Amino acid sequence: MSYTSVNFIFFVLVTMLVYFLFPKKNYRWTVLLAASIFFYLVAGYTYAMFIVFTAVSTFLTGLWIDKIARDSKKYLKENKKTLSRDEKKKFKSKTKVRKRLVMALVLVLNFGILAFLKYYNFFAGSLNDMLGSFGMDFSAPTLKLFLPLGISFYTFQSMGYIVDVYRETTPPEKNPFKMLLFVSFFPQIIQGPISLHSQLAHQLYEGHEFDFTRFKHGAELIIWGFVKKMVIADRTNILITSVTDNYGNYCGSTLTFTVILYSLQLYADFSGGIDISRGVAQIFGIDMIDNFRRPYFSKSINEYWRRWHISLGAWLKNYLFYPVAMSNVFINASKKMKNTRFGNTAAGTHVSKVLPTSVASLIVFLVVGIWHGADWKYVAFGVWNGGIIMLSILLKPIFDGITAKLHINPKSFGFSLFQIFRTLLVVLVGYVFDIAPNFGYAMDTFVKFFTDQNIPLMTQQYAEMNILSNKDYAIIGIGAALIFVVSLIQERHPEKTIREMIDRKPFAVRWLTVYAAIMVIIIFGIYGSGYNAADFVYMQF
Amino acid sequence: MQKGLSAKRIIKIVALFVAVLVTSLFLQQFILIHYDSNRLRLEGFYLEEKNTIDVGLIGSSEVYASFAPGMAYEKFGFTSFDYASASCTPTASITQVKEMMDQQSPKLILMEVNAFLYGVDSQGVDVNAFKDSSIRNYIDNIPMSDNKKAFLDEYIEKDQHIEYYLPLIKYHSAYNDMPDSFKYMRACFEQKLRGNTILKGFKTRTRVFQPLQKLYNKEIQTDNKKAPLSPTAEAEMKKLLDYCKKEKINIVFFRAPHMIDENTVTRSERTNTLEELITKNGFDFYNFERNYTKLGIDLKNDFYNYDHLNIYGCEKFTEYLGKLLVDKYNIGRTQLTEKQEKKWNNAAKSFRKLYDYSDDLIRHHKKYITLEDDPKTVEIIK
Repeated sequence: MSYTSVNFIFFVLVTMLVYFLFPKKNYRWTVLLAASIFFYLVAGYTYAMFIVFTAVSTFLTGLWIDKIARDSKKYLKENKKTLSRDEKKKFKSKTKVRKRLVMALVLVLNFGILAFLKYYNFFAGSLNDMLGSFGMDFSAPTLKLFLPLGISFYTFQSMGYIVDVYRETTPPEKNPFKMLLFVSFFPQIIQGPISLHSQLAHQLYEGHEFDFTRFKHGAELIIWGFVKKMVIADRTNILITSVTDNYGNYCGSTLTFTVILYSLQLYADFSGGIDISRGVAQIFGIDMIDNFRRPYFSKSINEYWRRWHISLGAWLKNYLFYPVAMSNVFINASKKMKNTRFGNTAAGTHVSKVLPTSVASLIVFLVVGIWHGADWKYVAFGVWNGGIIMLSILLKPIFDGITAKLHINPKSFGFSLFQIFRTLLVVLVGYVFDIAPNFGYAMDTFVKFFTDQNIPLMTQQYAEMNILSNKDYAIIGIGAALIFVVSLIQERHPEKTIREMIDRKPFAVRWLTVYAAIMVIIIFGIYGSGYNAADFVYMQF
Repeated sequence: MQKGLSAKRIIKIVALFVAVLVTSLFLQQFILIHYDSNRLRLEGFYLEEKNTIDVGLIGSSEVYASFAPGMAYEKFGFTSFDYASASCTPTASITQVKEMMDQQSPKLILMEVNAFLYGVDSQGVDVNAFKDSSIRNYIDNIPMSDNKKAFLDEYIEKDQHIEYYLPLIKYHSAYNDMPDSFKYMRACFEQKLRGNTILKGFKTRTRVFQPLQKLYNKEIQTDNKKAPLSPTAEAEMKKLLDYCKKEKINIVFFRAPHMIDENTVTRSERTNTLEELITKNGFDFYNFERNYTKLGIDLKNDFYNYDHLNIYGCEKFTEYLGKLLVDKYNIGRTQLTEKQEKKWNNAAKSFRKLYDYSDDLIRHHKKYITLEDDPKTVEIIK
């Protein structure tokens, strides 16, 4: 059941009706659980065993870790007087190891399933290629594997919970069904956001009363999500798919324009989907975190990744970046460097200081790349982004020096604009890895960018595709302008939402705005057999 | 602020819902429609006063290019209508017959059999029977009825029914056809305002076609070879014949004249197979493709393309078929009211003007255009 289908709208309306009419407020979460199970089963009941396994293993491990922690505390309390300081320390350390082992077990199991389903064929293929190049007659079999709906999202969310329980920043969930709801909550199962247990769970389990303002704002957010997804993203996707299906046939200019279009499509698609998810959750009284904060206005690639897919970035920061950057290996390496001759120079002091964070960034982005897909092009995507971030951290003093020498005011509008365009360029280069069929094609694209720019040929190639009318191009243009204007307003007034701004307008304006938005979806949306509506891009992850 | 749903808020939500619904229905009904020649003709058919048509002609484009109801009325006095759509499918045939009977119960139905003559592709699938555009040329342009519902139930996947009940789902992008579609949009509106059609479904193109390839029309006159029908075509024809027998429908089948090149020889062999099937079931069949000389059809002068007669061919065909209907099937001059007679006299006069205009364009201006019930043509022939 796609989020943009009529069935989904009916499904949400029925769930809403049952939820708010459910007599026992404390048990309203069971309605959400039943709806989530139904939603998941409709997507494919064969997927269900995977999500159930994750929920059960997460639930039991959470309790187990908590039991180890409680037993340990109890033991220490009971033997407070008899144990020496060293014995206490040793016991604490032993407890930590036990907790860590249990945590590792469930992490390996769940990430193992994800890795196996998502990457087995990639590794088998790569291994076969490698051994084949050495003339070895070995062939790892390729398997027909399917990816359960939302597996990346629910695995990351559940494993985040386990780490939080391990760190004792969140209490363990005592009710297995509540855990199942946390793992499978239907508005976020397709493409996130990846929520923290401490942020989402209590909202899921509270029995919310119907709130008209929340309903209105939720519905408005859903409508805006539909506009972005159905009118802009899916229309742009028709053009992009047409190019990517025959990637090698197009000139550099066509590919350049396609990458620019892809930046629009990806943003409209992903943020549109998240708006629908957040809007639905909001109607039920649940605030999910926003996954986007106008990422294309970022002044650095680092900032871009703090504004794009925020929940994934936060997850990686919490559960990967900090553990890596703060690990003994990195801290010791940094200290060692500091004690060398190079470490005593100005550059060496800076490098040894930022080494853990810069290398950790590279590792994080390698993971981001691989998370996007099982292909070398995604590894390259990760290396590109991580590499740029690493270099920007390492070379920051040089850049600052150049800026100062050129008497550039880093806070000036012109320089900000330059930074935004520079970041956008870096992002667009990264997108080449996304749209190219493989790493080789991505490299060809970069060559074509410099050697095969031909605007008249591009015009001709787009005309020959003959898949979109001039009106469609106009709709894409207007859609892009609309997103830009909305983003600009949000950027200037981050303290309030557009919906709150609309609320202050007279009734007729508010009513007409919503009416016009719905009609835009009905008339200009990509749906029905006249079009092939596309799945959400991030659904595949 | 009150959190719940007050009566005022409910009214606002309902008003929004109603406004969206009304606008959508308006767009679906009048604006976001795939306006084309098929729509104009089929909509026109339903504007005809009930039970005023003596002969209903059914089938594909051959029907409306070959038979001129205006001329038939002028010459023989019976009323007729070209109730046909381009590339009609065999699956639509029973629905066409049922609709014709429900609307007009004519004395005789004449069915052109082109729909049954498409072959199969390399995978053995009928090349036209399940083609979306061919299905929609007909079914999307007739009003919802029990017959249409029965068609949908039988031939269209259940999950696609919604698009036929709410065509806006399929045609919401019809703004892409604009402004080209304005011609047909205007024609449909004007036709509705007028309350009837002028050409009674007839459509022609102004050209004398000169084929580059060798023609096999002479050879097929003596060729009795029979090529197999597609499984769908055969099954649908049998179903249709059974239905007509059961309902005692007075129906006659025919094959319109065509230019036969090497690609369409097999098709004419399928016609032989079909003829056998039809006549064995006790129905009359006329193969004018094979016996075109009887009509006086001249291959060098009477077609506007391989499959369609031009105005000269149409004149000969209508003359011959009209006479046949009068002589053999006793289709006589019909009883009409004064008002109806006025309309039909106007149809006859308009066809005559159309003939002259078409003749002038072909002979003197070499201008290749389409003439039908569109505003420009109507302006010339009214």
